[in-house]
Amino acid sequence: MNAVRPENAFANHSNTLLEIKNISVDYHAANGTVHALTDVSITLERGQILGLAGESGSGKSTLAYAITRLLRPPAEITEGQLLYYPRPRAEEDKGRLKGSSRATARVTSKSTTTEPVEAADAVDILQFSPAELREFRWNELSIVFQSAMNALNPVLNIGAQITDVLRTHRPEMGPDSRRQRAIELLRLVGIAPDRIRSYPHELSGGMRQRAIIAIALALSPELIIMDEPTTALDVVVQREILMEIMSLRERLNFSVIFITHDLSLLLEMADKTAIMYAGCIVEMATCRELHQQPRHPYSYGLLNSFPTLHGPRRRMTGIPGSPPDLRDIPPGCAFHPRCPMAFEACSIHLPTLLPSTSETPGQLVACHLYDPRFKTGDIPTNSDFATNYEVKYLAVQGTRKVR
Amino acid sequence: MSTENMGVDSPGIELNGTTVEGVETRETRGTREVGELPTTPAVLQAIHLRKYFPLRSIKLFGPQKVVHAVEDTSLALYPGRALALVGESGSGKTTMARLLALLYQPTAGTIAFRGKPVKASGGTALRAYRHHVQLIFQDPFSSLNPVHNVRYHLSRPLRLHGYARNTTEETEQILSLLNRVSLSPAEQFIQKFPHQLSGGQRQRVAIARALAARPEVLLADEPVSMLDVSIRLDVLNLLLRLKDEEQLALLFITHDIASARYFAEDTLVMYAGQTVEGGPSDEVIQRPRHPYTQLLISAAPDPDRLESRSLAPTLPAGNVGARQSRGEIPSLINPPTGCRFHPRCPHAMPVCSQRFPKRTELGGGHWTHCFLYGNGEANDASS
Repeated sequence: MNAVRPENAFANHSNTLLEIKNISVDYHAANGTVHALTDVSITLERGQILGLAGESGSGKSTLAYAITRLLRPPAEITEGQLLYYPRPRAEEDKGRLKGSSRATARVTSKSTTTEPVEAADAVDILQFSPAELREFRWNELSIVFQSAMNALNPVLNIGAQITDVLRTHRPEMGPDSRRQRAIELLRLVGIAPDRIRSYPHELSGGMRQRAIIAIALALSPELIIMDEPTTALDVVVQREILMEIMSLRERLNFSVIFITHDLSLLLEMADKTAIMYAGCIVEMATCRELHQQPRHPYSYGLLNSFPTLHGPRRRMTGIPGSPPDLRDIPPGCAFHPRCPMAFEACSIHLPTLLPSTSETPGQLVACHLYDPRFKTGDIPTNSDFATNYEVKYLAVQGTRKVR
Repeated sequence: MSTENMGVDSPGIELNGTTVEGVETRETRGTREVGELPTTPAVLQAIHLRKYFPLRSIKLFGPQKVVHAVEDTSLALYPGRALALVGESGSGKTTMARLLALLYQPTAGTIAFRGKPVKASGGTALRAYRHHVQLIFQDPFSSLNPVHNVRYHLSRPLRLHGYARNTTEETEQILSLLNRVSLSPAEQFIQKFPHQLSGGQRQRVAIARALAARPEVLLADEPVSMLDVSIRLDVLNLLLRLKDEEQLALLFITHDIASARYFAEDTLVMYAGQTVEGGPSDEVIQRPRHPYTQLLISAAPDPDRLESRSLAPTLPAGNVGARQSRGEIPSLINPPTGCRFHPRCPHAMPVCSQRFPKRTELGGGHWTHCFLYGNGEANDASS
């Protein structure tokens, strides 16, 4: 399963792994419909680390659950497509996803191991039957949950929890080979194999997290979704786990969707980062672009919510206000009530994700400041953002004092 | 319950004679203390504090096992200044806060309030002490009682400490407290229940509850770690504002060394119950001397590394420490001898496992406990 995957076999094909197309998710609550995701589109390449950042309630986890189809009522995926491009696998794996006949986006059904995958071979995750979904999950996509500390079963040792995955998905494996694989996986994530009989309470937080990652890797999936995997850990342990993930990715070449609210962490490790606000993507850029010049005022505010280790000590203002009620998202740009740069158009027109400037076509931003239809003149720089945030902050403080 | 005279009678605690007056306002306190410089005598001091937690032993006649949670830690809090206590979980930060709040009895050492040792035996003395020293807990989701509303939470300290004698006074003071922590409109918040509030708002209520006792010392145990990123700075700025306006002495416990730099004038780094380094925050963070502080800083997320390194997404291999210091905080039941960091330390020497290094002054108030700096022998002789 760990065989080196032939990269050149489909060199002619685009390297796309997952295309999230116009996904919207609603939660039907008693007191109104919560629009958790609105028209989110992301393309993920093979081997890429995609970061998703935003405050809580911005829809990061909902997106992860939508991709894994873990959402249950009252949540509903109201529209969109989740196109997954399976990689031709070894003989034994064949027919897993290829056999799916209900996938609408799928056209051809014949493919051999060496034949390049056509774009038409994409399957829509949303169309999977329960059986197909069971095959898809963990074989192709696994997930590391937010509270990994609680994701392990306290009454089973970690060896049993790893072999459980193998027993379900690889019935042909015998107990010995399952155990072998479990030991191999523990080694992979840096746990001594003699801990295989340890129970979760005997492991430290970092080790538990490693065990969870071992389970996620058990079937060598193409994509691992990590939903705040290190939030509960100490900085030193967090750094170790992240380095582990990075080196594993280099060896096993899986893709990662890394969800966190810690933007400064993401900037260090992700290839591409999408910043979410109120269920929409407001900016998508490489980390370097984002670090040098965030384009969306929200991205700037988020970046400047983290005190730095270097540079002058100055007052940081954060982002004034609080996230909107998703039952009643403000018209136009959802960020405009908190935005220090807002102007008339922001409360009327809904911004779309467009290239920000001609110099940085890859940096997509959903903001009218960069749209010549609404705003002409200079493109704001970091110092413009800083001044406006400061003014807004003082204004907010002022109104509080008066009251 | 009449509590008005309890504080005055309490042994070992001076009350300034102003605290029981219900009419005392922030303004009068502000003028009383505003002239004081940061170099005024410490308001709260911990002197060689130790805390061992006994373990229930299976062997009846075996040696009693203990968790060595805090070893020989001294610190001082000054009015209008914040001290950040930084370390990993299990380093004894929270134990320190709880010792200072007298939630635990220290095994050894003294806590001095305004230079006088505190003896907290019995409810009266304890209440008088809590009058001056208040604690904010980490988790605003569990530190507020879900069956009581905001009014109840804030009225308890006001009543217990005798600031409010009737409902009118109470309401008035609760509204002013809510305004001070920027919960407006206060009239609406007063009747809300914790479940109706967001995390940031709950933490503000918790801060208001601590302020209701009109303390001089605020012990904040990771006050923002459970909050959302964009809210964190708001709450930190609120605490900073209160520190300046009311000349509070603040102990700020955090695992995030960057926010220690932002928030506090002084920083103290703890590892496995021992203090390893301390001094002015900028000194400690820009020029860390102890290998553990260096490790902490190299592990902290820092987007500026993107600029200094040509390979953007690679995580820095770190300094020597980051790679070698794999592992976690040691067991505090049988802690490593000598300096407890030596099993993970890239610079460990034989002497490190034999005894704990004495304090080495590095100038400018910066000090460390490490044999790498200063001569261990000389320090030993001086003690």
